[in-house]
Amino acid sequence: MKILTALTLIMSVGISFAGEYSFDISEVENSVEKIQFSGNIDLKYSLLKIRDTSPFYKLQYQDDDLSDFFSTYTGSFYFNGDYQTKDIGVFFKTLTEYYDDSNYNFDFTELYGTMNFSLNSSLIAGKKAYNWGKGYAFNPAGFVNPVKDPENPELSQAGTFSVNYQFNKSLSSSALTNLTFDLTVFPGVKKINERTSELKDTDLAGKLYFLIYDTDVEVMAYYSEVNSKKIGADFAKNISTNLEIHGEFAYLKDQERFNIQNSGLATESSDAVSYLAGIRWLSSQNVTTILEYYHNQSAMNCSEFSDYYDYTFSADSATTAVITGINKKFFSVSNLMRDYVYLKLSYPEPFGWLYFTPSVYSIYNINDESLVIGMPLSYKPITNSEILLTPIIFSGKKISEYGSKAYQSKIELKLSLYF
Amino acid sequence: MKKHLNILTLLIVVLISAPLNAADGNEILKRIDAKLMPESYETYRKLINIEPDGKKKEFVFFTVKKGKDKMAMLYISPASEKGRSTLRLGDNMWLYIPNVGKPIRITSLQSITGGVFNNSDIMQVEYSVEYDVEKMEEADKSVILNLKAKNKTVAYDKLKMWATKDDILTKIECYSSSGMLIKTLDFKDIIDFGNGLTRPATIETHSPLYKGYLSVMIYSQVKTRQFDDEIFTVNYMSKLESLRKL
Repeated sequence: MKILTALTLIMSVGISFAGEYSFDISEVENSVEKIQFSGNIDLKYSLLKIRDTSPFYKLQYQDDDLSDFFSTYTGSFYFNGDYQTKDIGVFFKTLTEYYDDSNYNFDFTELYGTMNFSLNSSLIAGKKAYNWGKGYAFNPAGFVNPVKDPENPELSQAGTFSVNYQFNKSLSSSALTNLTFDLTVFPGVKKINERTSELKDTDLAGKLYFLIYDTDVEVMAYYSEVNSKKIGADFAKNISTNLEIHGEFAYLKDQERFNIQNSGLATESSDAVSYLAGIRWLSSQNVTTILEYYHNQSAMNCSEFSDYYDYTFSADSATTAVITGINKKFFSVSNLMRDYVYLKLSYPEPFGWLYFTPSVYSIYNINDESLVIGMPLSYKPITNSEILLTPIIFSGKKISEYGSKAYQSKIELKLSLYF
Repeated sequence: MKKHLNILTLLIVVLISAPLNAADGNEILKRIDAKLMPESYETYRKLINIEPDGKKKEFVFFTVKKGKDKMAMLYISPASEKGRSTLRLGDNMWLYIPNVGKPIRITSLQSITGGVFNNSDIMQVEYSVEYDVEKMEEADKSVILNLKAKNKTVAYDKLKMWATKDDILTKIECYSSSGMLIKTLDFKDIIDFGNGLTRPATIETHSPLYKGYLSVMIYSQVKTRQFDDEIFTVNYMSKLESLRKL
């Protein structure tokens, strides 16, 4: 018996050093500090092959006699901090983008505080990025989301000043197991001056989440006097051990849309719908496929895009500034047209090549049959580091969205180091 | 005539004892679950993926579990993954990535950490929730249970499970519906974690599908702790860190 007790004691002492593998628990105990900092540095070098027939190239480099290849480099420093207790939290995320000593930007991409009144009820106030919707590359029901780049959907985004109240309740019903209500207030959507707005220019967004019959279901609404009013819904469900399906729908009331008419900007409002359907599938070969179809009724059709192309092409020394301003303000979204298919395939460590994950993605514009194809090749030989090489090709007819990009192709090389 | 009667009697005994055997097996399976994990607990776990070239990749998780099928997990390290969290509610699984800012659904056969463990292995809920015992065999020092998945959403169709006579799990073989061996889990280093919990501290897994790879999970500080159901919701995934501050 004494031997058994002694044996148990010896084993108990070895909790943090079990067998041939070690686990020093003090490593994690130190990380329970209330203030924590983290971040990463991204160093990116890009090589671009120009398309000198593109009106968008011409707009940027009109009178310059330049060679066919450009290069750019950027250093991005993300520095994040958080202070959390049981009841309150303060969070910040910063981004410093460095081009050269006379050209760098610093931004608080997020800066907010949280109060947990109870496990059911909490408040968030400050600059915070929300991400509604179930789509990977597009979010038609993402009424409060920052603008997403479908070529890089997982990129950290800047938030908007807002106040959010959330009520979260678990239920013991076999059908409905969780219910969450979110109300978000966006003050000062339209400014009188830098600091002041009219009270009526406060936007309201509400979302109800249900976990019902093992399905995520959300219904959402957005009220505004400045922007269009919107209602929407989304869902996601795992239908087998390797297949997930998701979808989103949005109805936009008096959605403002822009196009070019009579060599100038025309604005009109009309009701529109936007929707998305997608799957995420893991094959038996360990290849993950994301496939999505996206429709946005309020975007341009082919004829409107052609007018926009001609308008940009018409820029000369007298009109360049005006056309550049209009392009930046009204047409700088990632997807100008109505119907897209997004496809991404990822294959981690193929053929036993350790730490290497090749992917390929394509965004196909159904309306004008142009497309972008990218092939991110990720290599993570050392913990907390990543080398990412991404060749990207923009292809299509001369007057098409991707066929008229200022660059025919580019290769990006990015080194990321995390701390 | 007597010979026929004996065969008939034997048949009846076999037919009656088979379901009883499975019923006994299900009771043993529940006892194995109870010995493996308390009803509601928190723990720290380290996952080590050992690659064919001998290099190691390590992850540390803070994990909380409630009831038979609720589990949430927060990445503590490495820095590149810190702040990520995963949630399992029965057959449902989600991954939260701070940069993405919303939970996305993941499937049980995916592996968010790479290596041999898939999501279902890392967020394993009680075996009796997902499997029924089809057959039980008794050996000298162990019990062998043959388990069949209750439905098609379970990661492995069949399991062959070895446990000691006092219901401590020692080994599991995972099979596909076609009978192919997918992986083997070895439960090692039986340790007294306190409060009457004596269980394996190390789970080692290897697979014929991942030749040369080995993945290891080490448990530390398994503490009984009560949680509200709201902890195990998608909207709490970004707040899991606050549980470590209590």
